[in-house]
Amino acid sequence: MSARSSLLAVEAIDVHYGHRRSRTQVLDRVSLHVEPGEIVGLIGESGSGKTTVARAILGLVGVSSGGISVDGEPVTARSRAQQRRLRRRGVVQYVFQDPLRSLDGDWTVGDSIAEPLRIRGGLSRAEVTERVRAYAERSKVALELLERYPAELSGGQRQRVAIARALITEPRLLLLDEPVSALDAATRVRIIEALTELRAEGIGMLYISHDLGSVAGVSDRTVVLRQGRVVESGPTRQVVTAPEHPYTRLLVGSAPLLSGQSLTREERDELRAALAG
Amino acid sequence: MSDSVLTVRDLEVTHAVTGQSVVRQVSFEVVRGRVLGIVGESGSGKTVTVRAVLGILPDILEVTGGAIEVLGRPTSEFTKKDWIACRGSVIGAVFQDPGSYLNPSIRLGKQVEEVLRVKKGLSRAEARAETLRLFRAVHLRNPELVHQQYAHELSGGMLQRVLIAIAISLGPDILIADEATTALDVTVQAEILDLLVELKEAEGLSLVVISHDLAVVAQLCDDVVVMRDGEIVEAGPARAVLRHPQHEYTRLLISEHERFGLDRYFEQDASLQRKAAS
Repeated sequence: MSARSSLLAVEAIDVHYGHRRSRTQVLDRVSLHVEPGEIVGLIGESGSGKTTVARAILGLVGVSSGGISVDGEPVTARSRAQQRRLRRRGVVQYVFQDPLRSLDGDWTVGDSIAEPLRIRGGLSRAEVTERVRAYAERSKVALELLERYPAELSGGQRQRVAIARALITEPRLLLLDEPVSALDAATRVRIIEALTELRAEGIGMLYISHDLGSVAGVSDRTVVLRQGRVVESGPTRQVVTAPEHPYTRLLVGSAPLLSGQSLTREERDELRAALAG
Repeated sequence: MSDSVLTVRDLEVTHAVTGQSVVRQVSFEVVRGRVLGIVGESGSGKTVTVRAVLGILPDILEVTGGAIEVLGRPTSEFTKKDWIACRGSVIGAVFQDPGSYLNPSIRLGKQVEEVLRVKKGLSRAEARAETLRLFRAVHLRNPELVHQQYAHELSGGMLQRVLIAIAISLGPDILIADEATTALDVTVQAEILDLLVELKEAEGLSLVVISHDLAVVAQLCDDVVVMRDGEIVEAGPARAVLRHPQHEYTRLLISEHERFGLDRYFEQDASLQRKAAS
């Protein structure tokens, strides 16, 4: 498959933080791609660089080598002004773990959802209102909530508001950073169901999480990141049931299962020793 | 009849200002050498229950009904002195964010030694030796180094090991782990859970494991209590609860794992049996 046709193509990117002596490499030749109508899981534990990947895709950190393109257009080669324009067009949208921090507490929910449209401009007040209502409904945000403030909403309601706001510019690519980690089970199920509906409509998603278990059920493909490198990637079923890299085997074997862990303690200890050596 | 180290009967905890009960009709028993799991999401009352057991409820909450017995003694009769003798020596506890229970400006070894010197009356040299033994028991790789380090120099998983070392330092009968692995990476969580099981065997502990994650509780516990909105909705042996969940809420928690979790990819007799039954 040619990278050019991918909705998101990350090609062998290196990212460094710091200068001169304190310069450290945080991403090492990371590649991944997302096609329309596909959920790709990006799994990494703390310090793996998974959030840096998202920041690089948004153009918030520069890459030292390699390239990123969204919808065929390079993100990395652009000037700041061009990047800003790309963000404003809203092709890529981002949903964070904690929506309380991404919603302005002084704005009503309706105003927050409308903000990306106002930034982009070109619509009348009435058109904006109409679209806000349409996308609120689609994201399962009750219309009476639009006049309320984020602090008056539950965590699940806020996350649905964040999704409505992300969708309103009709993005083709969603970056989701631990979107359900802070929610209870019933709400998690509803958000995940909403995401699978969006997938059916052709939106591509990069689902970033520290927990393979939480992504395995929704992602079509899975990319495992460790210490800034992709150690394994492939169809999720294959990564989960026949992991090749010792780290992936340890991740799968460490995840708690209702049916008991898939590895014994001794097997995990062996993998840890192999990874440390 | 059974060797119960902790009994909670019809516990009710009430908010002093609103008068609303936060926890109602909560009963369970921790049997010596066994592991009890309490599953519940935020607002379920699991942490309030644990705090009531430890006698550390915030001022605004009070126990308004029921009884808690530790080693056969009702805690309602405990004086302040009894509580001090009980905490640490009979019941140890670890919580979600280990960093906030340690003093950032005192070396870790000294913080453990302090507990041992004050509560066990050990000499300086004895306390040091015992601290190093505890650090080895919780598998800190370099006990002498950790002894000299400060909290900010250690990862979350290592700090939780230090906290567990403190929690077991006085040889308690019961160890409570309240979301002790929630903030940790999955691979580190597995190490800490392995450690808890090992300590249970080695130190003869009874464990109470509190988690929002049914799978964590499922793999560790003999008995399970499922809480929601301040009440127990289901309780019983872990295998029975997982195989034949009675309450709709327990079924939701199980089905989430089966539909959207890793369990989807693994053969699971529990789900097959339930499907056969329905």
